Amino acid sequence: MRDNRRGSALIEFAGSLILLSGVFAGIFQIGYTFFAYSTLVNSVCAGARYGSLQSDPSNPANVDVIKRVRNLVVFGELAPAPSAKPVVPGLTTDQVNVTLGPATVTVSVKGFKLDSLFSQMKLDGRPTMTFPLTNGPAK
Amino acid sequence: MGIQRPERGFVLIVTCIVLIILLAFAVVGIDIGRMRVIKSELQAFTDAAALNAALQLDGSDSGLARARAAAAQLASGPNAMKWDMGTQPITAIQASFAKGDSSPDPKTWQPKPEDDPDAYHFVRVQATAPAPIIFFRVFHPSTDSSVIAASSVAMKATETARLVQ
Repeated sequence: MRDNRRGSALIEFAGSLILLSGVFAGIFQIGYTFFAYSTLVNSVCAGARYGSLQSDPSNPANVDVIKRVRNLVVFGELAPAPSAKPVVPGLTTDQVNVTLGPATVTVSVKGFKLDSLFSQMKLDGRPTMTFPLTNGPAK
Repeated sequence: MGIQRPERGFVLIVTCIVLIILLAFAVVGIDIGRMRVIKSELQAFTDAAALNAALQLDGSDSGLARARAAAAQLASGPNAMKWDMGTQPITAIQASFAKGDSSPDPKTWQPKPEDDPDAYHFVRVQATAPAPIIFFRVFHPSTDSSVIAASSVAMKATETARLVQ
């Protein structure tokens, strides 16, 4: 009788473990997605603000500005070391779309799959941040 | 046998306690996480909108009108900034203006200044959004959303604009 009860407790424990680990995994996944997206929002915003402070968009040096904006979004640095890690795992500079000028700079994430352990979330065109260029004559 | 009886249902009780603790984690991880995302999105929008509006200030009444329009401009169009993980349009936007030289005079904030437009050098853009609440409703059923607000102040400087707050 006593042995039977011990066995049923084990089964109950196993059942609740499956349930609880499922709930825990779900919470972790959604929480991590929010955390990673929040990081992306802040870094895209920083990139857009940096771009908005740069010189005249018709300047040929803009190729470099776009590269620096992309680096800032992906690595949090304008000129990252080759070993630098992206702010969100898997993000590359090719997935950051930068449109400069004539009056605004738009930075967005294109074709990035946010890997949140158990599933992936496709981010195409979000987050998108548009800042007015604040370096030249007032428009 | 009598001593053993209270053992029955022990796993159920533990499961319930753990479930409540997990729910509390869910409140923190999901509801507050979502609010933080929305707050970041709104803050980025108000920063950009305040700069966009401040660029329009030229000391005239029409400059103030253009600034009001510019405050909402970045929330529309193909590159619109949105909230709730970039899915919802930002609609509750308010612009107001203040006098001052190096910092805004808090007593002079008003949405539609009617006196001396040349004295208004500061623009504040405020945006709000109702963040949906899912798990916190277990503890407080009547709460279905929480208003998240963001605010930025920008000033017109020579030929440009900069963020103040």
